[in-house]
Amino acid sequence: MSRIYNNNMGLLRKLNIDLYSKIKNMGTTDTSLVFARNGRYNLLKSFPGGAINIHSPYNPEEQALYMADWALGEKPDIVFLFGLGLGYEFKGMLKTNSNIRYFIVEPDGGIFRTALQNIDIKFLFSNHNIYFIQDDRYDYIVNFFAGLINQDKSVRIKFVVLPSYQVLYKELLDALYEHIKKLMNTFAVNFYTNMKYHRQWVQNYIANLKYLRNSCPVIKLSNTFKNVPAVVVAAGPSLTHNIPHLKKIANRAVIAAAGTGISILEKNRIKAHIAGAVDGTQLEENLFKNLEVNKSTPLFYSSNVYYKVPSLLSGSRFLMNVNGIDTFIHRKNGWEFYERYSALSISNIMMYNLSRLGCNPVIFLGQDLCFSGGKTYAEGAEEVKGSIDLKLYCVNDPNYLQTENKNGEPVYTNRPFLGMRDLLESCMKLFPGTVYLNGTRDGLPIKGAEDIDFNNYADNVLLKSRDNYQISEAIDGVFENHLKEVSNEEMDVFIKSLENDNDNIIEICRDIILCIENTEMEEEIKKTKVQKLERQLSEVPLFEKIIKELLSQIEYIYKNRKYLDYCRQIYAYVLDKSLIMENAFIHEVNGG
Amino acid sequence: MEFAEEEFAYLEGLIIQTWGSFITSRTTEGMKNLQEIIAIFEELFQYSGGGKNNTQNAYFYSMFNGLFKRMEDAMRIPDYILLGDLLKYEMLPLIKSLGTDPPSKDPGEGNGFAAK
Repeated sequence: MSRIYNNNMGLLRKLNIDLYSKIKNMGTTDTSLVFARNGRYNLLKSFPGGAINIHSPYNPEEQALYMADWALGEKPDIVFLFGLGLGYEFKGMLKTNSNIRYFIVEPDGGIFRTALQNIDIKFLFSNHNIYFIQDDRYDYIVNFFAGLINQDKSVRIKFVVLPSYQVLYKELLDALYEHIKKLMNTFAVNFYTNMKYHRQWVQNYIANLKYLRNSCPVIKLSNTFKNVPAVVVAAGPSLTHNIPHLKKIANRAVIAAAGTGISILEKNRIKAHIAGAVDGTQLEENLFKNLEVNKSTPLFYSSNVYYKVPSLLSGSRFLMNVNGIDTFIHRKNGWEFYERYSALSISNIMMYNLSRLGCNPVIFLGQDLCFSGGKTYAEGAEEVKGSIDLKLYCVNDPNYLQTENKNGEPVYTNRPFLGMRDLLESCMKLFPGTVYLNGTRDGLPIKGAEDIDFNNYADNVLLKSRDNYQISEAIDGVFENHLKEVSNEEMDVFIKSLENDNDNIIEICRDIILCIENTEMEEEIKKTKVQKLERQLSEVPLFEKIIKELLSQIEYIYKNRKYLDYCRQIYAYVLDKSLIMENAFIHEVNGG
Repeated sequence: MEFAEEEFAYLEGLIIQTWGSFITSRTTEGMKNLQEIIAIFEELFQYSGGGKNNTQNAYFYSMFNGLFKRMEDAMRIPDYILLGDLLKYEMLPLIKSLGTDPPSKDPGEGNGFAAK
């Protein structure tokens, strides 16, 4: 074996023993080293249909530089490169910009071994911005990519596939594209939602603390709903067709309104057994204002919900575990809780919690996930949501995508809807013993949920069942029992501790910013002092367990700044949120 | 068999663009451009009488036919990098040499990718 190969294998052995063993034990490969017209190395990969060039057979470096210019032209934060070969393209990109992250997948073991035999691969490990895997397994690559977007919080990702790999790994790439598209839908929607609403959220976090003395963790209902059918009522246009049957089923199934669903039920004088709310914006208030039939409907909520919503309902309140502060509240009060689940919509969250509680089957209604009949909502939502005719602008707007609903009819949808569907489908997989039924008449198909005609199902299954559950009574009973266990004094101590934490955060952040802006202090001294203050901050539970999570959504924006500049931006952001929380403590919690 | 100056500039740009598409995996765009390149050559061959007018035309005709045959083979695999390189490193120099004297030896018959 050549010296280059031995050196490379020595390096690989130190860095990745599994990959080292895999390459070492590899038999003959179908990849051969050839020379390009300009005398540089190239690779030729044989396969049943012939042989294919991995790099340019005339001038690999010129090709690589062109590709580098093209790939980096859009100034991505991350390059995802599928195919390494002899590394010409990657080296070209690295030469142009070594400050961005590179995630490189070499799916071909034979090509990688031939590279190890002929080129020094130190460049692959020369920079902490480079992440490399040699694997052709779909699951591994998908996990690699999911980790990448979760860690980096960036939507500026450039996908680069070497042309020969597009031919050799077509099926794998098609599957990867499909998965990546789903991940990006979800990520993009989460990312922009988070950025837009942070200020309102932190106000809600604190203002909602005042309801804790009269709230019960959802998990306490876990013995109440075992094998009871549940209908998650969303407000999609198809819901209009099911209203008469929903009226009839009464106590044959748990009727759980998701978000705007409560308005449609109210309009049709149907009392829901549960209303779910998590939306942090003021718009959520409109849904719960002026309720009559549903005034006493139990509420499933998250600390994130717009802070006036819980006070608009007079019934029992159940706290779900949707975000960092929900988990924190459960933990600090010694409450049991279900694993945290957050999603793009309240329908997904309600579906998760009802499945956790043991409801079976879980039926989706009004979960259109598209603009059925050119409408956004079922009839009755206009008062709270307004009315728009989507037919007028869907056609030419790239934000609207045409697809087919479950009846094979063309409909328009959008990325958030598709993101919701992806999450619904993956959530259902968490509950293999639960049956999911898609009763939304004109909605998109949902993989894992059996299509049903809800009206027939209500007539022939639910209404013929002998089971008539005392749902509201059971819910209220659990709630009353919990309140007997809650100590108001302990809850007050908990809330006070959060207020103290917030005061500490304000003080430390102010110190950090004052220190950074001090023109008379030397940079190195500033750094030492800021580092010390950062350590103090990390010992404050409200910061460490709750605020830091919000921070993870914005850190990437400033990640390329120098340390002090980065800290100034980050702690100004934290200070802003803590001042909002201070205000919420004064005016909402302490009634000042 | 020759191009007007602006035709040549256009074709040169198109070839570079097509090469760029192929080597950056934008194959749909590359194939679309390639169709246009082929159409330009079909027209040229028709106009120049399919290489039967004089020795120089016969030489270029056979050279292009040989090149198209190699491109057809590359497409069959499909080897898009080779396809792009054939355009940039073979076709472009050949086009540039149009109008120069043919070599003294008989180029023989063209083969394969015949102009329709």
